[in-house]
Amino acid sequence: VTAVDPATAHTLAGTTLRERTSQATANVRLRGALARATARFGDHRLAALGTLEDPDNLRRAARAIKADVISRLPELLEQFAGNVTALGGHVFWAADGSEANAYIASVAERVGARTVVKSKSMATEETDLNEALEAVGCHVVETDLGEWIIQLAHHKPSHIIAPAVHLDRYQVAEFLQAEVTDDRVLEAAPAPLAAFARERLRAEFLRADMGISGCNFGVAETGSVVLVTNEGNGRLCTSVPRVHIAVMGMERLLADWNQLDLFVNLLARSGTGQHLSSYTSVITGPRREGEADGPDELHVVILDNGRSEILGTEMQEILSCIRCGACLNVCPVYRQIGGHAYGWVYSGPVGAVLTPLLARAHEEAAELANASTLCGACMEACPVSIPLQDLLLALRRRRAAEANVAERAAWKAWATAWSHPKSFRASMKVASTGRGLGRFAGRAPGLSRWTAGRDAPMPAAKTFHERWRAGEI
Amino acid sequence: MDQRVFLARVKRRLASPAPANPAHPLPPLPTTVPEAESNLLDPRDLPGSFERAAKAVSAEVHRVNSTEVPPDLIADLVDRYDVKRAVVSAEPEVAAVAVELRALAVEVEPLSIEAAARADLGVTSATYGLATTGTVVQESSVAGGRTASLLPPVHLCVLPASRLVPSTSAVLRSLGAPGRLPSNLVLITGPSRSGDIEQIITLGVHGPTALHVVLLEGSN
Repeated sequence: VTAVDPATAHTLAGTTLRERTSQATANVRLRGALARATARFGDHRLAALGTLEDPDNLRRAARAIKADVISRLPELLEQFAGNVTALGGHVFWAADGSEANAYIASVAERVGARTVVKSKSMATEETDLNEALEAVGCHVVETDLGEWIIQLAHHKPSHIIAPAVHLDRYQVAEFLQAEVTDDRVLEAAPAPLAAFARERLRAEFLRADMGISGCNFGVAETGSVVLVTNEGNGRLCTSVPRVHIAVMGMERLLADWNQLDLFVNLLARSGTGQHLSSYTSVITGPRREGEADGPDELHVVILDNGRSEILGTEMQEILSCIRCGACLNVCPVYRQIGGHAYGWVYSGPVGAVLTPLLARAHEEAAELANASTLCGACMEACPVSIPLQDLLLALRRRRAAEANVAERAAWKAWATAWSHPKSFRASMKVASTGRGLGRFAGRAPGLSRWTAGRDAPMPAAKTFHERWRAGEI
Repeated sequence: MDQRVFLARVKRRLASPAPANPAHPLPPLPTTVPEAESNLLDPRDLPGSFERAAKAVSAEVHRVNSTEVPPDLIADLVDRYDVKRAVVSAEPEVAAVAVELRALAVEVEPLSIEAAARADLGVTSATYGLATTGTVVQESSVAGGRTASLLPPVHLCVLPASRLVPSTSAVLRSLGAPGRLPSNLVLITGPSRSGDIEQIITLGVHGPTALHVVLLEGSN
């Protein structure tokens, strides 16, 4: 198996945040699509949570529960794996993406899998699994409608739960039309496009030898894999092919079914704003005696891929994320730039935290913590109340600690100067004396970037202190 | 990687607890996991709550004061969806429906992936109905499989009203006991849907386009 170089699969490497955001904000179609989608998701989320007795109490409880689960991961993972194995399933422990991909490819080769159907999985986006399977000759088909569209477009997902949110119906119609083998012309409207996808993908499901899914929750006490989907492709991937492989980030665990009850209710309401998703499937072992369908083989791949490095640090709570996408929809930055500007798999506030931690090989990832206003809307929307703004701030501190000496010296001088009334007044005086030069500020070296998109403030003729002493105020 | 090596690494990292967050301290662990109680539920009227919730997610609900699905209703569905072939689950509640379908010249097959893939209608029962969300619960051990409610474009679910419970909590919180779980348990809330193109809801992207629930409210 050849390991896929993430540097070529994602746009993070070799580009800057500024370049990517400039490109995104110049794209009028993208901004229209983002405004529409994030507003709709946000409204539906509030309406759905609004029917609950005390949603904030649930979010507080969810935060404490998930933090407890993360602190008990070794015992809970062991219990989970033991239960999967006792039911006849196979567990593979993957230290990183290439180990996970190599294992899945080896299963595909052993069972002679030609067609592999996939339901949406962010973990396999991290590991570039599709490319690894294609390298061993598999025909890999994403079956979530949004994922299929971006697979055909050779794009990366731009939203955690709505991967093709950056495309409008006309763009989708173009990509799907290329898949039409007869003389039909697809109408650029959601219903006929979805009908075409159903017809094409149904044939793939029926011929598939292997189905690959993600895992929304693993339940330790029973070894269950829980999948939450709306289209039914998750059910098809795990019911029709004779082999099912679930890829689970090692933090996606819950201890028991009481917790699962709380979390499925929070996930659906926070993600799409449904009271429950169309299909919440709980898979406990492979097909049993007397069942007409279902996989003969069940594999669960437990993926670390950088997660254990986050444990024991101030960033640990990011592992409580349940991937609902609510923080994206409320983020004033995501709503303007969309997901691709984040350059990797995860976007929005959670992406700005996770990417520097999981994609550390790319030094470009560190600046993502700046793609935030620290307004805290993300924590307010998060069903697990992850203090995302604190984590973003901590990442900025880390980065500042590594900043160059000259920059740190300049900030330190500024802080010292403005801590004393005398030197503060002196600096104000310099500003008002230099008033006449204000209009040239845009051309001053170091300020040109700041003033490219806004006016430089004009210092007043007299400082406030001078006017106060002169009795003008 | 070996399980022991994998878990040893996790254990090593957790040996030093994560520093506390003074800005937003971690709340205490609740002694019991709170339930997501919704004001959509009228606890005195489970059938009415179920009907409202299921309709809100585009399912059709037929409330009948009987212990059997009325033949007229079956004939209407056969007519409306031009049903030529049907697949039925292994549940005893659907046996009478199969008889009616055959009388209407519909070819009825027991559940298999092939039969479900060519059927125009899939008929199942459900082990529970959730009133808050209009959900039907299917267990592979009872239904004899998964695909009768999945592959055909229309799903007909026969649900005795005695199986209605208030919400997910009544079902999920009782399932943790060992040996109680089927290999596949699914909560079905409305037909298949997608909003992946411009967030405009389209029904029947992969699973059924239509879900009909017949709520049997007659008493034996």
